[in-house]
Amino acid sequence: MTPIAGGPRGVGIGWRREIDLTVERLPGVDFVEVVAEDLRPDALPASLTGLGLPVVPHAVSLSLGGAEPLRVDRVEHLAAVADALDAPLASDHVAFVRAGGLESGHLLPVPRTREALDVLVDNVRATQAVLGVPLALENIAPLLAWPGAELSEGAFLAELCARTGAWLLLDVANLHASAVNLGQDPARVLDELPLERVVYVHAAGGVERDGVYHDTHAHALTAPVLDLLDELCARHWPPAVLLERDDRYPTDDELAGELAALRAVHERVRV
Amino acid sequence: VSREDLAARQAELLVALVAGGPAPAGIDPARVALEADGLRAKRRRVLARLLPPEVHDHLGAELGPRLDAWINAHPRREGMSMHADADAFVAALRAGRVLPRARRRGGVSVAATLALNARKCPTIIGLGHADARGTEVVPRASCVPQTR
Repeated sequence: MTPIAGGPRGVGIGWRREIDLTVERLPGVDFVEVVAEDLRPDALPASLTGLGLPVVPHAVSLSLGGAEPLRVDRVEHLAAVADALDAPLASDHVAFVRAGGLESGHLLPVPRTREALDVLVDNVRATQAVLGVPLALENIAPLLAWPGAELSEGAFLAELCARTGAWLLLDVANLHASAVNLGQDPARVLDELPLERVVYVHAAGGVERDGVYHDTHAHALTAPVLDLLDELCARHWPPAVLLERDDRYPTDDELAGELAALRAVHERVRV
Repeated sequence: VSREDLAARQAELLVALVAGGPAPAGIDPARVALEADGLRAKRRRVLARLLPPEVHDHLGAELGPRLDAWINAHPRREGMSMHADADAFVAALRAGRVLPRARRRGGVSVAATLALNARKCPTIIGLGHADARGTEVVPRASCVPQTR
């Protein structure tokens, strides 16, 4: 069952123009996700719409954790893309990407304080008021941590969901990144998260260098990430899991193998 | 007041990450440096991908240092797309006579090539900020997968 009507089920892959033909040919793709900022709602690529699969638009630039005023034009773009795709939901991150007139070009963590949580709640509610579909929020892969955390990551996300009604896009690779980079216990995060609100899961490859995990989306899936997916599925079975690959694309066979690996874990504990 | 305080702290971190500011109090400076390196590497990679082949040909091994100098001197301002960033970089090279002005090659101007790359690579143009994850990969000249 899936908590959102028409929401993703099964195994999916991040659709990228560079691999559009691959995605078309890959066996066992149940849904795709596409970076919303890549699309114009009035000019959707035929290689995407022609798949005939559910498409989830995934935004990266709303800066929902940013304390500066929300850029409503960006939310409206996401809403228009979701509408054009007839998407069951849309997603973005618990992060900020701009401040003080500068763009980071990358998802940055927010402090886990009450103050930052209030900002997120305001921005998420304002986004939901514009979006015509449910919104799912994703945990990011942090390299650094702010001082003065008042809540654990799990409690922070749980309260954000409770106060806004937002859904969770749980990224197990990012959970692994938090474990390696910030010393956070992923089992405790899973304990605290409202797992029934997970509408789909992200998994991706990365690499560990000098004790720091880099969420590259350019390397193969690793065992700890698959283990976390397994752990999650055993606790509360998520309706869908999606492979993100953004760079150094492997052969079609290798991608098919990664999707099969995800499916094997996802279906092993199906309840 | 608290929202303004958070905005100021986020701005301070961003200055530390992309504009050479000091690490904010309480945040591990080594991690700030690591994150800053990642952001620079990503921007360098995306810019390199957007540049027309003739810029790569003309600058050769000099491109890397030129990109680094550009990135360090010009933090990306809010709303500036990566395409606009690439455009500004090429314009600065022309203004400095590092690149010949308005050179044409095979009947296609640099501006036209940039525009073509923009259509091929909407990820890096989009609303000015897609491509939001991290990896360190050698840049390629053409519009092939090099996102984070």
